[in-house]
Amino acid sequence: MLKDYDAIVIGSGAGGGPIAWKLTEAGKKVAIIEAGGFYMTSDFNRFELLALRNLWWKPRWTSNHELGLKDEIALGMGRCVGGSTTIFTAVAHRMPEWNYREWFEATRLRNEDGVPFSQEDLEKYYEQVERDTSVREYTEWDEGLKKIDQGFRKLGYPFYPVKAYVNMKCDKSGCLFGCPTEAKRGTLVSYIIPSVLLGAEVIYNSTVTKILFSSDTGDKPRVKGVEFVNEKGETKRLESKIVILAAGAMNTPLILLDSGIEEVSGFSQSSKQIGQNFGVNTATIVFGKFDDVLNNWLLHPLSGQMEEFAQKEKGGFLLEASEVMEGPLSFAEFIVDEDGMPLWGSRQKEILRGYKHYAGVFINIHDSNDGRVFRDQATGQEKFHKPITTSDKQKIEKARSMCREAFLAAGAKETVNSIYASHHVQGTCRMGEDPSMSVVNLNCESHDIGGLFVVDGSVLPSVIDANPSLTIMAISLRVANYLQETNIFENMIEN
Amino acid sequence: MQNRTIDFGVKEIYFLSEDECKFFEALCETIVPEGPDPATDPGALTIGAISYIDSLLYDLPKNSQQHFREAIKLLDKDCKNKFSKNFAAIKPEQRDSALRDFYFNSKTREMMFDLRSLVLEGFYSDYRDPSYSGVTAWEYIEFGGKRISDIKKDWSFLKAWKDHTDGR
Ligand SMILES: Cc1cc2nc3c(=O)[nH]c(=O)nc-3n(C[C@H](O)[C@H](O)[C@H](O)COP(=O)(O)OP(=O)(O)OC[C@H]3O[C@@H](n4cnc5c(N)ncnc54)[C@H](O)[C@@H]3O)c2cc1C
Repeated sequence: MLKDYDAIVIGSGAGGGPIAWKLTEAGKKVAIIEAGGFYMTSDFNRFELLALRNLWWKPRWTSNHELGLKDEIALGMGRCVGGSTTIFTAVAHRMPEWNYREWFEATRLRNEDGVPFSQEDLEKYYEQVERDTSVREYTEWDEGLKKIDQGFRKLGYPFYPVKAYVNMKCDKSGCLFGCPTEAKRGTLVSYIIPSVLLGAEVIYNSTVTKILFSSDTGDKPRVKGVEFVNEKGETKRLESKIVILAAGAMNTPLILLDSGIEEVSGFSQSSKQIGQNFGVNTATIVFGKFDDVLNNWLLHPLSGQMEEFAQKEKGGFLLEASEVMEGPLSFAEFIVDEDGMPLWGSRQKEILRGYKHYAGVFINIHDSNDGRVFRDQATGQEKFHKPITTSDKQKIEKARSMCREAFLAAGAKETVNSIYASHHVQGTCRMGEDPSMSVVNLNCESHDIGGLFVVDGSVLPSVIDANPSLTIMAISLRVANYLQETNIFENMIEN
Repeated sequence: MQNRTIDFGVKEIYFLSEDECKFFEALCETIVPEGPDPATDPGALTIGAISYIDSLLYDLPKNSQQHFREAIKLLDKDCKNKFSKNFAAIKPEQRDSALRDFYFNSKTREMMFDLRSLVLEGFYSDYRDPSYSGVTAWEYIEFGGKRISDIKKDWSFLKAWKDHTDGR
């Protein structure tokens, strides 16, 4: 039977973009199905409300109260062509070497030679992504970051310039609402548009609901294609030789669970791992108010970083700056009072009135992969559990008080905290060799379904102490390389 | 369509009932209050945030509309239990305390955020009702600069503005 495509890629973010490009470049017939809309850089402007509506998922909250816990996390990710890389702050950092050891501990991940997976296994893919996306050191710091750095220097911890997926044309028009220039080289610009030019098809505003597979193909079921709801609300099916699932660590496990992988695999050990081990690098921001007018919304956010305490053993928090959410609406949604209560009323309005005086430090903690993504059987609702443990709280409080001290040392008059949030969802379909600890193997192919690959933040075996997108993109290129080297398309016996 | 212009400072209401308008009027006063001189220190009501909320809910799918109606019902129920009146009828301090309790009840916390968001969006997005032409949020907090000050804000995704720009 003739398939519609060689490969269908679900999701166009950090995971989906690079592999879609590599396969298209190799002459494969590729379709990319994306839940969000297809906007070009010329569509992006600083109209915050519409950007939030068009490019972001509505914040999806954890339901930790169901576990008897008090604190919830707002999980905010991208929903458009380019995925979260269209709205990300473009920090392009490799994963620190110690995280590989943690990966090995988590899922016994080894490379082809049986050696624990290490920096060497990703090196050339990191290099390739860095070339493809114009990664460079970002030294044109904004006034907010300069002040923050002064404060931290007084504490003995200077900030360093980040590496960013931003070319020299960056005119500091912000990141979170889509980059209105082509300076930010997320997957939209670096991989998706080039793929389209070479003939890949992007089926946007279309949500995949199920992976289809046939179970009459011998030892294990084999993927057949996907079912999705298109822009007009119609349910459609497309067939392909392989399926690359890259819908992000919140949606990927839900799609797998909704597809009935547990049932068809006979409730295999690996199928029970789907949606487990959810990690988020719980984040929060401390905003400091200075006398000077900073207008710290016209910047490349997160241009500097302080990683002294990033490693779990050294504190487990990573600091990046400056970030004031780039618009008053997001800022208003984020700020909380001394007790962590979200603000409203005249107190909130007073802080907003001083918005132009604020700069902010983004705190990212090394938390554990103890969350879970699943669908509530009774109500059909998506659920996200991610406990903030006592030890997580200690990291957050230590980081918050250090930020406050640095702000005051730099001359800030007051500080304000934010809610807990995450933009770094990970871990819900880990890669590893042992199916009792992972959902996909070293090459990101499902343990249960042949020809089904997961290539996104879900596969990271444990949380990493760097912004995750570069590592996800490197893994995406690694899988693309595997597919080409093994000649998977030519060797396939069509069913 | 009934004309409630005088009541809620907006041109037209398409979706909300009279009672729901009163609820959101109270919520607007609580979340983004007016200053002593609303002409220079506007609040959500001043700029007509009610029509933002009304248009937004008008276009939501039925189940999401129901979600908001349920939120209103639950908050009103809390208020009746505690203050013997619904949210619109209680004093400002009582409203703060009702919202606080709504937040601390884990079952309604997300609803508290959803209700608060409606008003924050209706104000800090720089929204204004077609009938209002005074100071809006961005001017008030001096949010602007390159690529911001010159945005032509297209509100036509909202019924209140679509009908207005269609020349009605
Ligand atoms: C505001 C923000 C700032 C960030 N800043 C940085 C940073 O500076 N540096 C960094 O390294 N990382 C950053 N990140 C994180 C980074 O963007 C993500 O880790 C990365 O993009 C995740 O890649 P992914 O492929 O797993 O998912 P995503 O990039 O989120 O892509 C998943 C895509 O799948 C689509 N999708 C979901 N469900 C379906 C479905 N059912 N059918 C079809 N399509 C679907 C989604 O709409 C989305 O477009 C940031 C994230 C955010 C949100």
